Amino acid sequence: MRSMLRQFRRAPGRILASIFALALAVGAIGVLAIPTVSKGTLREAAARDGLADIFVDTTPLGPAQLALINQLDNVAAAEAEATIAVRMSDGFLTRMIGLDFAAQTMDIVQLSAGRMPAAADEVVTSESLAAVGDRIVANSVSYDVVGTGGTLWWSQDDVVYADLETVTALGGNQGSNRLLITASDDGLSELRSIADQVRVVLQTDGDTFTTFPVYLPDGSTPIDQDIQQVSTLIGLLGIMAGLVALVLLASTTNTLITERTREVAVMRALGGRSRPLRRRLRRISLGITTVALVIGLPLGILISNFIARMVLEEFIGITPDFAIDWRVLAGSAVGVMLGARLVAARAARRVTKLPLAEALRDREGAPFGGRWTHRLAARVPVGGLLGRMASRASLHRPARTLAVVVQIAAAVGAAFLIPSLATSVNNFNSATHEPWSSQSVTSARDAGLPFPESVTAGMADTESGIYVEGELEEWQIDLYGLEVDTEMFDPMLTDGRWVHPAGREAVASAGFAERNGLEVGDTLVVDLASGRFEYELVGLSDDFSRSLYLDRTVLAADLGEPGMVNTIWSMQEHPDLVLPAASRTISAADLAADDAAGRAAIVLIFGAIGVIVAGVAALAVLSSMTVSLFERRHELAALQALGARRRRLRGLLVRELLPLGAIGLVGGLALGALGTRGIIASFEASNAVDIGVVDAVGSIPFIAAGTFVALVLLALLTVRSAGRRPVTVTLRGAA
Amino acid sequence: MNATALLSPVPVAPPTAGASLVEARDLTRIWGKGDASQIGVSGVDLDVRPGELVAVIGPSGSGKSTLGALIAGIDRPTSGSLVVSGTRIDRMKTDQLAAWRGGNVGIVFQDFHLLPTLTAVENVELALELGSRVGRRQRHQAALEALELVGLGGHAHKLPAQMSGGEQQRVGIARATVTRPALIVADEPTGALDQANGHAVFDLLAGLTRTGTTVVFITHDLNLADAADRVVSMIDGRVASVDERGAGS
Repeated sequence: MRSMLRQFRRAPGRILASIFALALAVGAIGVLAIPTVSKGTLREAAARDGLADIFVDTTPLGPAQLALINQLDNVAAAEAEATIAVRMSDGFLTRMIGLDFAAQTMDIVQLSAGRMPAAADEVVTSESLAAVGDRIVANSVSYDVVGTGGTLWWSQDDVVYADLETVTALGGNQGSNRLLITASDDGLSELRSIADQVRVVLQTDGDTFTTFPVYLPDGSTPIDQDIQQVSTLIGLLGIMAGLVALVLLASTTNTLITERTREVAVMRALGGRSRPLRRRLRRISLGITTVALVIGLPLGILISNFIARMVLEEFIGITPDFAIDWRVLAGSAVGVMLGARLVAARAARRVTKLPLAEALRDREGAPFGGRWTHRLAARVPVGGLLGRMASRASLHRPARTLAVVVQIAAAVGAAFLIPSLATSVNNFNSATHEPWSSQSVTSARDAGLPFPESVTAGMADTESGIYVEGELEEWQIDLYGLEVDTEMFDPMLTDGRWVHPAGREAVASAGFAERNGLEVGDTLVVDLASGRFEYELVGLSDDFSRSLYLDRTVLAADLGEPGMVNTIWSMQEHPDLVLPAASRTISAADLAADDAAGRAAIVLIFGAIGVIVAGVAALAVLSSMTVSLFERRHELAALQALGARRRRLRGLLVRELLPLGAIGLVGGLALGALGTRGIIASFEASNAVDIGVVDAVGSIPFIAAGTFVALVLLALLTVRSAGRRPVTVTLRGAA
Repeated sequence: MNATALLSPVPVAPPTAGASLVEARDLTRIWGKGDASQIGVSGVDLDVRPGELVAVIGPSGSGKSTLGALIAGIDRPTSGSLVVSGTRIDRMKTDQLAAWRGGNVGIVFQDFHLLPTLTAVENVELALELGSRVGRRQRHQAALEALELVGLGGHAHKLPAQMSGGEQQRVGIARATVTRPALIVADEPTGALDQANGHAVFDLLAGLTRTGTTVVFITHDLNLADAADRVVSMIDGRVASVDERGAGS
């Protein structure tokens, strides 16, 4: 420690820069903790809420049915709630949940303020909807807001929670229509088995599921599934950040030791043995690494929590508590210490093995001319003298040159990969809308098919249909029931044909079909809310989703509500519809605005990670170049002594750096493009959809300019730093 | 200007007739501040006449190398004034000083300080590229001729690592002289060489005074110093004595 303090007093700027660089490296590893921090928050919320394992909407349930369900195999508990869409006084539709506040064991409402309702006209609302003491009007009935809060399940929605009787009365005494089940064994197949048993119980009384069940196997949360892609992506970027951080760690540690070459040589000359000297060098380096860890670990915790908060608030709508991933924390601490130890040992060995005479003269490394490449370069003079110096300097230390190129490539790769991923994801999101030509979509707010398909009869440019969720080949899919001669959807068929009227036929998304080995002519076995059904695959649609398209009459019949629909597509933004149940209309412009907001969020999150990765990589380049230029300070000083102005020195360094920058740029772009393809391919495989890669070509000029500016700045800073020291001091090698 | 003209033994005209080429007045160089300060030179007054060979001697730490560095313009005094070739160099900015060095002074170092990635001829050419506006072909030719003059015509395309210490120092002398500076400062140029090479290098430098070049020669070797026109002895950063020998004047 004393030795480190002495070093600090001697060169505080350099030591602080090293500590900062190492701390940032450690902090960057913290990106790896983001998925765990996010999931940890969600798991905590799930445990607090008593999140159920199965959620499903049903036709109204009676107490006897619920009692039967509670007795089914593997059912630990089953509860029923009532859910209806209500229109608030401002005209907006909001969900109202009716439950037994006193007896709740699942999806328990957590209060952030106030108290639970104690009377029929008292409610709890989401914080964003109202405040305690407010009075709200739902479906023309007034309620007092006595508390605010919510549950993890409804965290993305504005919800009013009220007593079960209050809601069933408001909904026309339909009773409970939402079933929550927890299982003793919550494996996916066990949950499916429970759902099948429940279906049988309901069918006995002519009841059915009105939505496809949501299974949360193995303690997962619905939001787990929602953020899986984001988490995977962040994890991959985290690995990249970690690797780049390790490069920075290696290069900074190397710098710390290389700078002490002469000091070590003096100690050797005085009789110091190599082993204690190496130990001393390692200790200095490890001391600095320890200080960096003390700063870097909290920095990593802050970075991971900051980005996790951005992700969860933006995509999920919840604000996570502060969390720490101890495994990443301990792993990065151990990894960094081990990495620093290894690099320090190697650098210390190199420094203590240098010929003493060379080291005492403060020169480092083998002389130029020892390899055939050196001699060849000397024999074939190309360009001006400074250009020759620049190119030969790169040849002189090929390992370092390669390291700098790799580091530039890593920075460029990160800078290209991240916008490419963002562009690809955004393009994918936009592409999912592409086959649809409607200007608005009106959806029923409650489960089931509440509108007759004739609701749009006689209306130009407006069609009724069905949108529900189902399952095919163990993938959750979207099912669309459309008019056979629909003008709202262009399937862009890549194979086969469109469905025939009343045929038990379906068109599937081409990418999804391809990934599941489905071909035109195959029989598809699809699980719907109402049961299992078979359709012939007659065509493949070039869309980017995981969807099946059917004749609406066939789908309505299979869902147990022939002649009914739940969705209206229209070419008008605000169609003049008279519907018998609550609905919400979203215009194409609203969708575009949502997309724009989503895009901005994706760019923001990816950008934040990108800045960290590229910043760490840039620091690694800076650190490597610092070592390289430190070793060549005598050359620069000799040039100054011969009359070279700073402009010339800058020119020399720029000539040296630019070719490396150009190679690193090309390599980095290739690396970024390959990385993007790898990540997107893994997403496509794990989601069974086509996403498609869109390289952010537009970013290339900015990345190239950024690389150029960074390298020129590096040259400027180096020359400025060299200019501060009298030439004679550097030439004499005085410390 | 052609290459031969660059190296022709035409005496260099002194900046001002009768004036000193180097005029140092109360020259002081102190490193650091407060208690940690270290005196390099203190209150040095020195005049060096054009065409003179001046040897600066003294024990280690006496300030002779610091004085040489100040005269060569590779260090700046803390106080005092320093006029070289009629130009006050102690007030120059970094780049001005660099440009001045390129055109007015040749420096020969104890450790040679050749650029390791450049061949002998390229090292010599470099001084011309930095210090004067000469075309590439002329520059190359002049560098070859400078190497010929120091007896290294056959080593022009060797890298420093492929040459002996004596050869490297002769390249250093060729590099210092190729621009025909009025002043050459040689800081212990024989320090890293054996006796034979040391004498050969000294003879080369002493020979330059015949062309009117002024040489300030810093050395430990009293035998070599004896051959100088004047010997400046330094102790503790101050000029202790100046002995006129008169041999070369």
